[in-house]
Amino acid sequence: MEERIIDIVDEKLYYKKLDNGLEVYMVPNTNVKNTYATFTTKYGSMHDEFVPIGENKMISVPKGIAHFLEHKMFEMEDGIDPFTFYSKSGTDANAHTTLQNTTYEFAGPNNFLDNICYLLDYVQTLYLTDENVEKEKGIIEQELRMYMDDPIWVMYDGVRNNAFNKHPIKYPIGGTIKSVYQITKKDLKKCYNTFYHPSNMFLVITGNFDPEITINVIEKNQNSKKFKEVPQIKIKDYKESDKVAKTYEEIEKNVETNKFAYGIKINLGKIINMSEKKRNYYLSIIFESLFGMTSEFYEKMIEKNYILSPIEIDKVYTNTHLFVTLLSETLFPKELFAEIDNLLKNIDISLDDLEMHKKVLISSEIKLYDNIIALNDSIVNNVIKYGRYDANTINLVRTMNLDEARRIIKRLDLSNRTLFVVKPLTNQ
Amino acid sequence: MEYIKKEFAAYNIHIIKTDIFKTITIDVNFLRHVKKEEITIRNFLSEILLQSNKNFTTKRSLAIQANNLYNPIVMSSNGRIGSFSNLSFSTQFLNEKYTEEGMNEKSINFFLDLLFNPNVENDNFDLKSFNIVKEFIKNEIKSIKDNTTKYGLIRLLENMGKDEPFSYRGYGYLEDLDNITTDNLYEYYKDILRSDKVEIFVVGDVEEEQIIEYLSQNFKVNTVKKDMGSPIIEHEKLRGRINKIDEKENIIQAKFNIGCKLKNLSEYERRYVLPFYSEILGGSSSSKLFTNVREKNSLAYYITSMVKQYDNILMIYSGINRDDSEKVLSLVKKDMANMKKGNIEDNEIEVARKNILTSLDTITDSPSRIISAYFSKELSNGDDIETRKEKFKKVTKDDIVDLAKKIKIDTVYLMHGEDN
Repeated sequence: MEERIIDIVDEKLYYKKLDNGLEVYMVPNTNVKNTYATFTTKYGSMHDEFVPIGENKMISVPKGIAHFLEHKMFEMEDGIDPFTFYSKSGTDANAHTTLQNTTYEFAGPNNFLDNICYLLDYVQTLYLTDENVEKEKGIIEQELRMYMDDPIWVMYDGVRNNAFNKHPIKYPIGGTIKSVYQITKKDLKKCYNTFYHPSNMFLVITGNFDPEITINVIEKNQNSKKFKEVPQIKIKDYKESDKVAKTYEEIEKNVETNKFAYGIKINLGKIINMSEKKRNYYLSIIFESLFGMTSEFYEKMIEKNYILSPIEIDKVYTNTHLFVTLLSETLFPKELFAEIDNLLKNIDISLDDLEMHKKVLISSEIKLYDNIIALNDSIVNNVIKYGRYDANTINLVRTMNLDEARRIIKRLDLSNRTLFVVKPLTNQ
Repeated sequence: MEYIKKEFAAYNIHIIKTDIFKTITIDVNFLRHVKKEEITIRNFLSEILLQSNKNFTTKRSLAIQANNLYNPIVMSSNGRIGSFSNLSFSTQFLNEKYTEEGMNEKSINFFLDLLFNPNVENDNFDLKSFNIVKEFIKNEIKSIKDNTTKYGLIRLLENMGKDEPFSYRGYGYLEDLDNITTDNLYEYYKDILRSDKVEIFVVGDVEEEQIIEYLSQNFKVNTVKKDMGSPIIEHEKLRGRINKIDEKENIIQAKFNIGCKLKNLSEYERRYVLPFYSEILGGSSSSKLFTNVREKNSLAYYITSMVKQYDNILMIYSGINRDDSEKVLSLVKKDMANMKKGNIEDNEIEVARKNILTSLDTITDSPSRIISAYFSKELSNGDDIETRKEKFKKVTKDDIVDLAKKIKIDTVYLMHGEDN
């Protein structure tokens, strides 16, 4: 097992890759009572065209299947489901699906070693019947309907759909009610067999536990199970154009003020000779300094009454593009969009701004170590985005400088944008 | 972890000294009896004090200063605790061990400056900041329907008692907003410093002497502590027949909410038995409602019960298809009847007990949960965490059945779209 001291915060990261390919990241914190564990497969809603294990043709499965599978992992043949198992020790269990991954998690101060084994066991068995697949459809339909009433959710889905042409990041994570009803037991099995192999998964544990004992228990658990050798998973590669699919869309909903999403699709191919992680930190700082609370732009827009709430900045990455969404509310959409267009034509960053935002990044990174859930999430995100977690963020941020920031700025084409507006109902 | 309570003439300081966090958290609460017509102005104050101050006259300059201090989090809110209104300000910043020497004092100064050095000229709040905040609050109030789940709960409570504090809207009301001026806002600000009850909490690795000395010198309020009585709301009379409300909104998923009033509960029942009842009925993914409504009948993605302890209210809320409301209601009634009849398995009680105890066990993992535990102890003269654990361990099935008999459905509220 590898050990690494994490600078400044004086914590330790433990890492081991098991024989079956499963990776384990552990950061113990004996000051707290709770322990938090996540078990993640690098399989999310966007992996819906692939070659299934044991076959040789690319197939396309109904949208929303990764999320459907997440629901079905909570089904066990003996009838004692994970919720019941965990509730006996007062442990919270849950799971969530994103564009890129599906994560199963538990949090609790009791029964940790049994809990971690059970997490491995229930995710590493699949129990599907025609009946339990059918009964889930009504539940998921209600979940999707709940999101359809949330204007922010609708807007994020809408703007992503309009920005991308082919890449499946364009589709909603849960699929549509129609696609959910098309999902079959057979589809679910194929996805499970392809993407739930230990070599496509990783465990992250934070909180109060003993890393040595824990890794032994995990290894023993994994060594007792047999997994087929799997070849490299083949997922469809998309040639995504830099242009957005649709530049404007508006819908009406039960809202009081126009809500908007201003999406910018940026090709990252020209930014070379830099780690992805560092590049992404620069991009975060650049957009924060343009649109965040400390920006001149935000202050100006508030004073003009063009904007009614802080601008939320969301970023999603594909292997070729960054898609940034700016989200807020406005009474003057046309005027505001013209202002944003204009700002993006010619951007720069000052040394003061860069240094200030570096301080913010460093302090957020240190604060993570007070919160075992936020820390765990951050490790999961690092592994999903960069393939690994190296606990070296603070030192990386310290090396950031104005020359590099400006070099990146020069290579950004910010002209491909799309707008999604949710307007109040007109017939009221 | 060490708890020190220091009582001053004007306020109490509670220090929870611990070295388990890398941050220091300070939480300041201004309390008075809630009045509907004061909610909006208290909200206004909570926003405007964070908008600018004498030294940093715009939100932007404030934000820049905060970032340069390694980004202390500063938050404010105006909430209700039973019949009390609580205007609260809090900050959390990195202990200077992790940043630069002198940062603790700078961060505390930054926070106290927001409270005591407002952007006021000639007894009027700065007009520019005032107008920005006014637009912001106006939008918040008007956008109440954006979150349909929340709006459904607000409408449920309003139908349970229009003039009762438990139904007051947290953001306030447009008609009150129109009456707020830069002048009367400052009057109200002064009134708060004169007459609200103040409770201060500090969590972190601090020197108690030093922090008490520092706060007592810089905390400029001249209130006189007084006994506010209990924040618990008692219901006068219970309805004989269930109040059924059906409302149309432009929504896709119907919201189906059930509100129950609790009457004649002993302190013991309210604090110790009620959490069991709610937990078993609909508090978790092994509860009766989750099992029967979601897992067995696929009628909902979520159905949850929630207790508003200070309000003597229990709410059940769900998102369903409109046509299923009668079916869901009969399932809920059946589960509630079963609890009254004592059809509760030992296993259900033990799971609930475990969940409740676990939640108490992990309070010390989070500064905000530590503060809320000590705060609620202070407010309602409650037991400490260890005593609570002991009492929760002793709650019996008979206790739960006795309580179940005192829970009555008051209002059933359905919000739905044109054809769903």
